[in-house]
Amino acid sequence: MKVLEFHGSRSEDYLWFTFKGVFDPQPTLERELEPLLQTLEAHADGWMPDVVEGKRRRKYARSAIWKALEESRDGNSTDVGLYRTMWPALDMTLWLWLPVRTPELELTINVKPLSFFAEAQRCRHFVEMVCAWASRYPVTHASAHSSDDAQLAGAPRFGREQQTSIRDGFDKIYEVFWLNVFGPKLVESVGRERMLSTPAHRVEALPNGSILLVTWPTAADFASDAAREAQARAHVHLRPDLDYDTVLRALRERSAALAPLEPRFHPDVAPLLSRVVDRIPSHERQRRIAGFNAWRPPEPEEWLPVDAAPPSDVVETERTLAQYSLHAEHLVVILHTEVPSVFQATPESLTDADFYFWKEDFPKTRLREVLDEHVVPAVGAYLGQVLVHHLGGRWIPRKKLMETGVQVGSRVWLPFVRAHRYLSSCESLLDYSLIQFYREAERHRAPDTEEPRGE
Amino acid sequence: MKHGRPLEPPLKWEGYQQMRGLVLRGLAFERTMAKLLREDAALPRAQRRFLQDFNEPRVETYVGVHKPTSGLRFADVLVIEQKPLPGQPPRVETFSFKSRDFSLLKERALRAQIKADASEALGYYGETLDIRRPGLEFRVEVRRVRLIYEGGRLKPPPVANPDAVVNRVQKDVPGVEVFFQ
Repeated sequence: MKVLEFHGSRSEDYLWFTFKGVFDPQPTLERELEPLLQTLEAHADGWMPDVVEGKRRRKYARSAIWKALEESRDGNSTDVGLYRTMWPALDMTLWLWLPVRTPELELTINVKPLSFFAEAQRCRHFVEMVCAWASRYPVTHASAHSSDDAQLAGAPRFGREQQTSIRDGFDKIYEVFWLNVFGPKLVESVGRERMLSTPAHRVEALPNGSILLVTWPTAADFASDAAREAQARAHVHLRPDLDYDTVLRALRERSAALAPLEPRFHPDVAPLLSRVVDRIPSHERQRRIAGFNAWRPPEPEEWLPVDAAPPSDVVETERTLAQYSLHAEHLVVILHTEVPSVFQATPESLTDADFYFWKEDFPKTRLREVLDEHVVPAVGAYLGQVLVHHLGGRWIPRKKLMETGVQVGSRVWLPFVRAHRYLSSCESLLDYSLIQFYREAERHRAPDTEEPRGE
Repeated sequence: MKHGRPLEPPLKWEGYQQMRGLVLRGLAFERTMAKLLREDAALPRAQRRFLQDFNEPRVETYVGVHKPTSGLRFADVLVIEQKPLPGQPPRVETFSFKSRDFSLLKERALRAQIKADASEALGYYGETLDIRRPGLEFRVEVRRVRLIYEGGRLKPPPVANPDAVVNRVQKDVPGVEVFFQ
């Protein structure tokens, strides 16, 4: 049974649901949890789990869930994972804390993509399911919302320190999501009557003192103007200390930050930047695309006109060239497992290497002295080799690496200087990318295209 | 490399291994965190972020600690009170730093990984242990173990609420606090 990956290489918005409540493990766990599964089976409209995971994976069946809970039991807690083998992807977990602890039940459901919840009928089913669960198992707080928008809202910490947020949980109305169940404490903090009179798509008192509140019929179009107005109205009703216009403005800013943008990147670095933005978490991606659309990498300056470049000061040329080869080989050593294309030493390998160093935050996550003593020479030599092999370049060896050049046409390029600049910080990996250096050298390959420097 | 020139094997295995070892991630993180904790220790107590439970914390890195169950292990950082209250044993806390790529894990697997790391940290650097650093050879009761994961692009774990996962681990492994840098 191959379960669908949930978090692939490119993140994407999903429906994020959490549910925190209590249950009564007497007389048996099975009898207590039967209604939970019945409700799930009745309302999971198109996203029903088909795989159950305890220590082993089994096809979905209630009996498989009991087995999984049994075999996953670890001290006073246990959990079971519920997944899908087909689109849409599902990452669902039921977590239980058992006596001697206070019996607690936590449910998380993540369904990807969020656009799956554009249909009103499917969303209605989801709300019915949560309503039934919250009526059966007393809740402290439950919510469902776009994961991207929740991130932008600052959930779950809402500005608090990590351990404070863990200790206190959702202890006041920090945010109103698409779907909310407020437990009795939160209801009391706002006032029951006030909460029940919230302007919203659906407000319902549940038998155990909780209140269900749904701002809008569908989850997927949370960013639309009308949905945002509904969200802001509900929020300021529950938080009279907040101002409607301010809340609405913040919500609209979030919508704007998530609105899809067409990439228009500088052609030299477009393949690199496309991969970079794919790797950015989806809630930040559009802002980064906007930034890169407006950005132009600085023109490479690491070169000298042929007549200004110092000639070789090396006696044993062959040995020095072998040394460059060895340095370049070190880059292959560093990268080959994750970037197999590094063996080919083509321009495309340079983009691959650029992406790898960026993805790894290499300048920040490796020791500075190792970068300067080992990685800069490796990158510089490799870059030089690519100029030699693909642009017909010629090494001009020097005793000092920083003076060593590769002549291509009427310019002498300084790959080690570039490498040094390149690895100085995470930002400089993009500002001074290897591929852009190569592209610039390629453009100036023919001697007659040369223009005087310092215009 | 290309153009059909004969390829000499440029490096022996030792060369590969040495180079690979040099560029491993993690070392820079350990160093950054140790520096951060030293800076924290130098602040007035009320302004400290990590070491507010100490009067005068002494921050030591890579400290040998021994337990009968795990033998000799090296704590990334061990912090010991230099001015304990009269008659009280000095407060001791330990830190363990990890670099992990969580980016593909589902919630349940994420929790299992963090829980395994937390249990290991408690087993090696928590509870009662003997410090083996010369000059600091005490038997101590570690009050708190903190497990800190490297941030940057390794973080965020892709789940919408990593804190909920941390909370579940902290419930199961009391005595350990988990942080994402």
